Amino acid sequence: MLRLLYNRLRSIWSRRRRDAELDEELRFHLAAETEEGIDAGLAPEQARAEAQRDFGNVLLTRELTREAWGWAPVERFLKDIGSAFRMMRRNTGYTCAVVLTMALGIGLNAPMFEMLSRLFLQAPPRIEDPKGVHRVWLSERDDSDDRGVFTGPETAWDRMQWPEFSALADNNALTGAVAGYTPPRFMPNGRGQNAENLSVSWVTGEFLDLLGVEPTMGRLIGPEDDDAAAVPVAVVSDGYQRERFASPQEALGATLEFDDVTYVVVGVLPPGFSGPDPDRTDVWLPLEPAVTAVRGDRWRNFGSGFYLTPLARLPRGLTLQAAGAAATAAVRAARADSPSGGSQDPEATVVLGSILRTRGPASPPGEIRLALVVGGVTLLVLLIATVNMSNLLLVRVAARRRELAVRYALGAGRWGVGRLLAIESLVLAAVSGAVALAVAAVAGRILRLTLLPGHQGAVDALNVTAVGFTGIAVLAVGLGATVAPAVYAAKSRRVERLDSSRGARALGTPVRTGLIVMQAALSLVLLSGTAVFYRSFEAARQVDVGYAKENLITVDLAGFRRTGPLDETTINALGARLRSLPEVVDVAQGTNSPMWGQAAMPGPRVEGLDRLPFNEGPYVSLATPNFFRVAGLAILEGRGFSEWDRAETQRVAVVDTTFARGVWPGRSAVGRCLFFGDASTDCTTVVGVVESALDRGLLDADQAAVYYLPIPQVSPNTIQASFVNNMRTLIVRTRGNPGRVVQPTLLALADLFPDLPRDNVRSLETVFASRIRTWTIGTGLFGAAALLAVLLAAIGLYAVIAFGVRQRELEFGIRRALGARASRLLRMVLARGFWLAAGGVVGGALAALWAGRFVEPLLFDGRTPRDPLAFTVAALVLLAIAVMASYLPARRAARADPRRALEAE
Amino acid sequence: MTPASPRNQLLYGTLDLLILRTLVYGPAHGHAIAGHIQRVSEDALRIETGSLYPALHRLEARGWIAAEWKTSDKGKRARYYRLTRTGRRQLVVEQSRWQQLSVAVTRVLQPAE
Repeated sequence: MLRLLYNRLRSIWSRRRRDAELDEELRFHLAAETEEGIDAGLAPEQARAEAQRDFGNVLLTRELTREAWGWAPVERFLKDIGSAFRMMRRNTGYTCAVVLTMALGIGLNAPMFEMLSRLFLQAPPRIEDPKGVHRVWLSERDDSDDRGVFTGPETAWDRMQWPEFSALADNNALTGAVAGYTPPRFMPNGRGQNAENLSVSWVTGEFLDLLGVEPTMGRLIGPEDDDAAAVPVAVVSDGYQRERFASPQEALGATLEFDDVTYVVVGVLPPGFSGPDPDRTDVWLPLEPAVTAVRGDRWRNFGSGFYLTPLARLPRGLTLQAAGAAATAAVRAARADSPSGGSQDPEATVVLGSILRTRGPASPPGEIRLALVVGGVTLLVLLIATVNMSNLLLVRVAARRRELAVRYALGAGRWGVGRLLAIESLVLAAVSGAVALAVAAVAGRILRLTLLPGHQGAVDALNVTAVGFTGIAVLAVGLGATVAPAVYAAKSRRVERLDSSRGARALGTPVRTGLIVMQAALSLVLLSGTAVFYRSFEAARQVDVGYAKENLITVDLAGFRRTGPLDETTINALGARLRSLPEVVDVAQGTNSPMWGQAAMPGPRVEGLDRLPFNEGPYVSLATPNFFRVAGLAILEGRGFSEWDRAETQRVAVVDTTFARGVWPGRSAVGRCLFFGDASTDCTTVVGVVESALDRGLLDADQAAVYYLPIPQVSPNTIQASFVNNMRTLIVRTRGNPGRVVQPTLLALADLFPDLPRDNVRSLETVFASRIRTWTIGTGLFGAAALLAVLLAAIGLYAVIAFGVRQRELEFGIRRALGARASRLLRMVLARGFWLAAGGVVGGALAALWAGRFVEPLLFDGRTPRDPLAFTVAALVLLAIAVMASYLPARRAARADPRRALEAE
Repeated sequence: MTPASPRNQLLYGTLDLLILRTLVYGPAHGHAIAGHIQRVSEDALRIETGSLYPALHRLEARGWIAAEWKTSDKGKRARYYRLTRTGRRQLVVEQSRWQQLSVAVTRVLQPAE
């Protein structure tokens, strides 16, 4: 066996020599035969002729003998590859078109596939037996009318309050099977503008052990660390360790500071580990000290606003149903036991789901749905690329009919030609695959940073999944694109004659036409998607948020910890310094950071109403007199605050239109009284109505009722006073680009509030841009994909029409000779391109109507994806491009010269 | 693996046996082997070159025969084949297979009364 292999290998290496030897051997045979003839008394010529006749076909004998050497298939393969490369070199334009098409198609899909598979399919890395870990969901109904009747829609949350979690953890059936964590969020390590923002997750003592992750250095956080009395410890991710420390050893013992608590790093987690979520996490802290530092001791109660996400790893023998039932009973009991727990659905149920959040039961959040839609879009692009490649191959095969016919005539089998085509497209695919990897590396980064910037590995290079996908896609597309051309080539064998290269002209045309129509249809889907998203984008962009958001900066003094009251002198100094900047028009103070944070407190009483008719709010905003002017909120009725509204004058308030309309529908709000405190009869007079602002959403329904009080009238030691102290915000109106003011503002802050983290200075336009991000990204990505698709469709259409024209050159020439006008021939060819695209428009419209359901939930304000205007625009664009792509070939047809066509025959 | 050639009138595998058997008498070149078989079979078996050389090279690739260039008695360089040890063993196997086959064929043709 080995010898056989050796012989074969040797024969491949010494191929030339063996060929020469075989020739010599056969020559010797012939010579010996001739000599025999001469010995038998024949004349030399006759003897030679006889010998030749006896010998038969020398070439065939040589071929058959060479086959016996056993390397014929290898040689054939190498020859085919060589011929494929020669074909590519000869047809540079065609090769570039195909390679570019495929590289973009595959290169975009590889990172998308990798991203989506990480979201929906692959378990988070470094977790032991991830199938055994379950995310614990709490499914409950909403108390929609606030009357203790839970009839609202049922929603599932993967988080619960501490009393519910501890009831789970204490349940006998679930002992040791439950752990909890808070999804990572950014927190400043240390103080001031140089503090680094780290992604931090708080975990119970059992959490890391439950996941089964092994530290690469040091130890995990254990139950003994999750204790108020223990020395606060932290473990860090491999990524953070590498970024920050020279070696893992150096990380151990280092300290981090969050919310004024110092944590000692005791362990480093393995590379890739980011907990159960795809979001990047830098640091894990024990829950108890971390929460207490921020929220005091209140976090253990219902209604504290603190939530954590439970995970469970079921002990052997406990089924999912049994565990769910035990957990449900525990949560219900915890809610029933607590007086404040009663404000929540007592019939809530616990469901154990996959560790992957995206698997539900709750539907994934908007950003992930957007990623899914983008995945669909890139898949469409790949489909178009494949169809395009198939079409280009088909045109090539059609153009090469003579060559193929010669190959058949020389004895190549149907498989032989099919194999040649397959190898050609595989070589093309392989070259494209190499380019695709480069595309994937670049596009992958952009896509990940655009769609899911906070995720682990958002900035990583290509990984195994993406490369694997590229490989498989190259094979699949390479072979898939060969089917139609190979079938056609096989058919042409039957029909084709060397002497009548025109006989089978129609062959393959229906397939080519079908492919073009399909490409046009897919392009229309993407074009109309772009239009639909653009309409949402425009609508969202033009939403009036109330504030004059251009040229407005907010300086948020709320987000950092202070001991003692805010120093008014320093704030005034900051205000004065900002006002002295040449770009600054004015500075106002308030407690609501526009479009960012709102404060609510027990609402005021008004005459004649038991309670205010608002589902949420009203929110209170405490402001300086110039607040409305600086924010750009228009006073619609009455007046705003003035310098004369002081502590000793009549108490005044301004309400927004939502408040006024809700409380005094159809009547004027000015002059009415608001009463604060339980028994107070001091009237706070409403002196004005201001336009409503959108602090949260973008829809009219997101407008919440707000009332404004002047800061000088706030009495000490009230809730309002604590808001003024804790939630102070400066808003700065600038001339021109607000970006120019940010840097001086930061400098001023560094002097006056050295502890303030730097991300508390925001331009309102940036905040707004992040709010309409879905549609910006949607429009951008759909647009890019559509552009690509239309380009491909145009290339494909051009190739097919141009080929058709070349085939019919003689016909066009004869038509010209018979008196047809050039314009008529031009119209004829243009019409063909137009109708092909029109077919695509019809098919694409149907497909887009169907696919609209996936996009619908992502559109602004319930806009429909079945938008006639969007479809019309998309159709017009596609038809225009089709006519443009047909123009060059059409002109060629119109200029057809009968003499030249005849000569070419 | 034998290419089905219409020229090959011999029963499949028989040519291999004949070549191996011929080489028992000592090394020989292709022309001599063909001549020997034709002579011994009294012209009943004519070996076509289109079968002979593929067979020789196949047997060589399997290691049953080995080849080397020598000067023939007429003073020309010729490729001489000789039996290898495995070839000799293979000959025994092939021979007994042939005998079994020929006995079987004979039985069919002349059934015992």
